[in-house]
Amino acid sequence: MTDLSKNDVKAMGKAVGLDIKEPDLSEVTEVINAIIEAVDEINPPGLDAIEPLPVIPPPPRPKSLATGTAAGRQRRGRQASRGRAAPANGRRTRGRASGRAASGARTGARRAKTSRSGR
Amino acid sequence: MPRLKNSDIPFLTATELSQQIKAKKVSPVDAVKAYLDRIDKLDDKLHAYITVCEDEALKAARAAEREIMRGDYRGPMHGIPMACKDQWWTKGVRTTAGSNILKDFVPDEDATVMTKLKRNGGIMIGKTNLTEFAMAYTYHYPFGVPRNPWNLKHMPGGSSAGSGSATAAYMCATALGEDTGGSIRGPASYNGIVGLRPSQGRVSRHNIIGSCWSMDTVGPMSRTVEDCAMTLQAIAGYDPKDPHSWKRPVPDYVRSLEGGIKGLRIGILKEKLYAKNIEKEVEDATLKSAEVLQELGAEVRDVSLPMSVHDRALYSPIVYLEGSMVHHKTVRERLKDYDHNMQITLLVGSIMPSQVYYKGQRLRHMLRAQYMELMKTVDVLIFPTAAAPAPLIVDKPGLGTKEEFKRETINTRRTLTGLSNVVGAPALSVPSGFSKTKLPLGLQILGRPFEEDTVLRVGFAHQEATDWHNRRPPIS
Repeated sequence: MTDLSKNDVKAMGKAVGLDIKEPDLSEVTEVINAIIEAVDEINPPGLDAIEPLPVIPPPPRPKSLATGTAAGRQRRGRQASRGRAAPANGRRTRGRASGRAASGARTGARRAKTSRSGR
Repeated sequence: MPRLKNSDIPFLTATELSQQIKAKKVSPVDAVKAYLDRIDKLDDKLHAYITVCEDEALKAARAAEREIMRGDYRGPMHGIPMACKDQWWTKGVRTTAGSNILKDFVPDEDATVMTKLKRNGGIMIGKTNLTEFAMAYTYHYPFGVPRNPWNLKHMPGGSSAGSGSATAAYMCATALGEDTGGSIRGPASYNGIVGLRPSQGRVSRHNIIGSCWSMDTVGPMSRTVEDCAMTLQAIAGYDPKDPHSWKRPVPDYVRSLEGGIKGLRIGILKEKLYAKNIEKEVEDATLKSAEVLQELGAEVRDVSLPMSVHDRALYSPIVYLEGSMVHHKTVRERLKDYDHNMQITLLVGSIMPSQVYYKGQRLRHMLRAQYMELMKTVDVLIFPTAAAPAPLIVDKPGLGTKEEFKRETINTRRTLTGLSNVVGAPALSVPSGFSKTKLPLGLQILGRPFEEDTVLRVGFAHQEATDWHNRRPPIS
């Protein structure tokens, strides 16, 4: 597989609203080419027939319930709930942090490392 | 309450301390003070803690002492001073995730693991240092570069660097870390302690600041396997606030340590031991551990999992993409507030082609299927936690050229931990020896999903037949 050029990488960034500039552009190009190449090199037989399933396969189900439809419903349900379980991202944490004091003040933790050691 | 000499308290195991507290021979207040003294003495060198919660810990210790004295003992974690990786919400205490971006963030509620710890009487004495947002290889640590107590020039590992260093240097009785690609087991190995990455779904991720939703797992980091089991007991179990946690019975992990390993089938994973990147002294230590387990009655043999050589390669697009999605807004608004290496990581993840990510998921499924098939023939797998002892602390930023990145990160010479994250299985790292340079080495033990009890039992048997866990780092 041919490596992505810096222009390719810049265009990929633009497509998702990111303006990737030098010197980051060179490094991003090196790393993404490394990952793409590493994945491209793995081609075990039967891979194209794989449908990725949840992280942990569901526990065994009674035979009477183990139909394709039921399994599909269960899988879809779990995937939908994953979306709601998205961990705290920058937006949520920043919102909650606004107007708050840092822990040293709020908690009275006199050993808060940033204030004690100037780090 | 009768008093043990305070300076001796930190050198008890968490299990011993728990017994002393239950018997009212040690006060939780004295225990907390003893660990705070250790932190005062050592942490300016180790930078294991970002925030030390002296006032809160002493307040909680006094409350625990009152409860215990009046007979309201809550269980083994009651009054135990512990450290928590600064990666999850702690009500009223700053939560930075090791980043300047969250340096002033004070959550108004706890993560579920904190709620459970408090309910069980555990006392958080501080929040520990980590790579930024538990990702990448951080170059600039805003709260100080964490260091290895066995040799200050070396890394304590990542991302749960501070929890590993603090536990090894007796600056807490036990600790919690989080493991996405080896972030509990790597630091456990590098610091000569025990670390368990539980099965995916065993411990709640509610209010964890995630780095990769499909692989993040909170788990214990302790000086002994018993301590690890005791700590896991306090946090394991289904949480309705985390739909990805699983409704599975939680065994009695401490009791499961008993019984020995006679007849247990143990596979030495060939692809992770007899490989060119594994240092000879690591291979020798692993084979010695295998002999120890065999002498204890286990049936030990070589096994193969061919797809496992690709675990890091297929893991990379998944972690980079999912990690970048956690930060999809801040990467656009505050990119330069991240560490340099994190910036590159987030930019790469943000533009990861969907077909590469999807192929990674397909490969993951295939590897998991192979793993589950193999685990029908053995009860646990063993191989080294890391290919070499702790590396030197990095002295320049950057993830390198394409070839360097493939060599150092994808076909890593560092940790061998990706397999359990990819397949969602429990994995334990226990001390297995020392290098010629006097740095700790670790043995990894993997089991079937939700069989942490088996993994812990093997680790305990190994521990009881060796003495690596009793060695103390020179800084202590």
